[in-house]
Amino acid sequence: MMRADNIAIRTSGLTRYFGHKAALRGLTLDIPRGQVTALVGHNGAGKTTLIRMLLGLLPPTRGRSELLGHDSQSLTPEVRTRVGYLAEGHFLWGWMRVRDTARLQRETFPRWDQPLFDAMLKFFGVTPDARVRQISRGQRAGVSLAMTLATDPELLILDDPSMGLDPVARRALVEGLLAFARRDDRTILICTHLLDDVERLADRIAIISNGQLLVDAGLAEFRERVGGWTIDADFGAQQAAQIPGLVDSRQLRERTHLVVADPDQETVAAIQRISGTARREELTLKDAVLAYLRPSAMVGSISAALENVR
Amino acid sequence: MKTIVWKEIREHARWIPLGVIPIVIVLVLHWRASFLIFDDTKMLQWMVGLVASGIAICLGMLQSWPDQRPAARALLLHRGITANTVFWGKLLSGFLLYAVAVFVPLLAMAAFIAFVGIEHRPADPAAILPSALISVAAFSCWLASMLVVQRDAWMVGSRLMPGLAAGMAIFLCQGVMNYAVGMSIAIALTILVALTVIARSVC
Repeated sequence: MMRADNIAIRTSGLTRYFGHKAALRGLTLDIPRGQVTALVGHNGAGKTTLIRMLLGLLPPTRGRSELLGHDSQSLTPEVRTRVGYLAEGHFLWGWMRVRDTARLQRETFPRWDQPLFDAMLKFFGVTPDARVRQISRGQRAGVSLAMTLATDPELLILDDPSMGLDPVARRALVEGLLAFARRDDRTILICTHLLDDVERLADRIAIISNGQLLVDAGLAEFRERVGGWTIDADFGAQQAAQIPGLVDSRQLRERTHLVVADPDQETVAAIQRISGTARREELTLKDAVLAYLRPSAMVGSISAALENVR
Repeated sequence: MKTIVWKEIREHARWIPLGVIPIVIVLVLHWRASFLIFDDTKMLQWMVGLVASGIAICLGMLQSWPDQRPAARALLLHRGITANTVFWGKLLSGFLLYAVAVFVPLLAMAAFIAFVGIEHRPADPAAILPSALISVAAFSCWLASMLVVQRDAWMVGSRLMPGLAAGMAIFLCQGVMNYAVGMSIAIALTILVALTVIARSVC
């Protein structure tokens, strides 16, 4: 249990319905200060809904959330200025010139860092006189990021910041965020689909699927606690039921790849009973995360399904 | 609030000519139709009320609909000002833009009537006053359209309900205008204030 003053974001039983559809179900999560936490999940998993509720832009159906120790639904302007938010899609008003967007931020964020903003514009090759609607998507992403970082936030919430960026700009973004995170123990919550970025940036990972939190762990701990095996035997629902902690099974030709959470001796014995030639395999972070994100309906693999069609 | 007013005016001032043109057309047509006398203001009141309501509805929609997109809403609200400030900034800028579109042509017409003088036509600049009062009541349509956009109501009828209140403000104001100007103003202001309070709690 973390100390309350060491927590940047806290949610408890956070639930949100849209009509009869649950976008988020009873999410309880603590994000510590001074760390980079990656929020990972497929499209529609509830990541953006979570962020909107954290920022008090959407009321929860049940439960509550706190940002920097303050209830999300009643954030004061002072607290808001301590939280930087980059929305999905890098929205900016298209009619504005870049310098107008800076003016709007400067006048409502007291710790505005104009030299940082100017330096970032220069890096992304944007002039202050350019109209937002006339700059490229990558440049718009750069301006959005500059607008967010120049507010000098204690807590940075980024919703898919790499969207629309080319590989060079993406690398610069990751490096910039790392440098930012190191300054005075800043906290970053980054929501992304790019697992390479997660690997380079994050200290912690939270995986959300269908509105539920599946994983909340340190990155190293997550890697240690997920194991992979390859077996050469037939593998179906009956075999799957025998393996405790089975996260995913994927068939590629005659082999089946298994991903198991918290494997212990009982797990190893169960796998050996199914196939005596089972081999332990090294899992990358990407493999482990994708195993959690694969919907349960996707039994087997696409290639196996295609072969069956042939 | 200054920042929000600046943003709203910069964003929507380009639509002002589209508001000025129909008001000018109504005034010019009325001037031409009632060539001999300009004191039969009932028709002018109705026409100005109708056009001003349309301008208020369009302006209200323009100022609220685009900022309803989640990312735009987040960019507008997540800053070191309260949602209250954003609301009052939008209301003030909306009224300023509306005033330029509606009251400036009305004032210009009053000035023109005064300039022409009763020697040319037996008209009084004060004949414009009832239309100006109706235009104040018609601003309730701005609040109503903002409420229609922002209220989270499933049924269309329920969603459009604020429009009914705004319509009532204009009709009551019109109906009472020629008998009791004070009561007419009181009705318009009461409904305007009521809609503002509701809009503030919803938006």
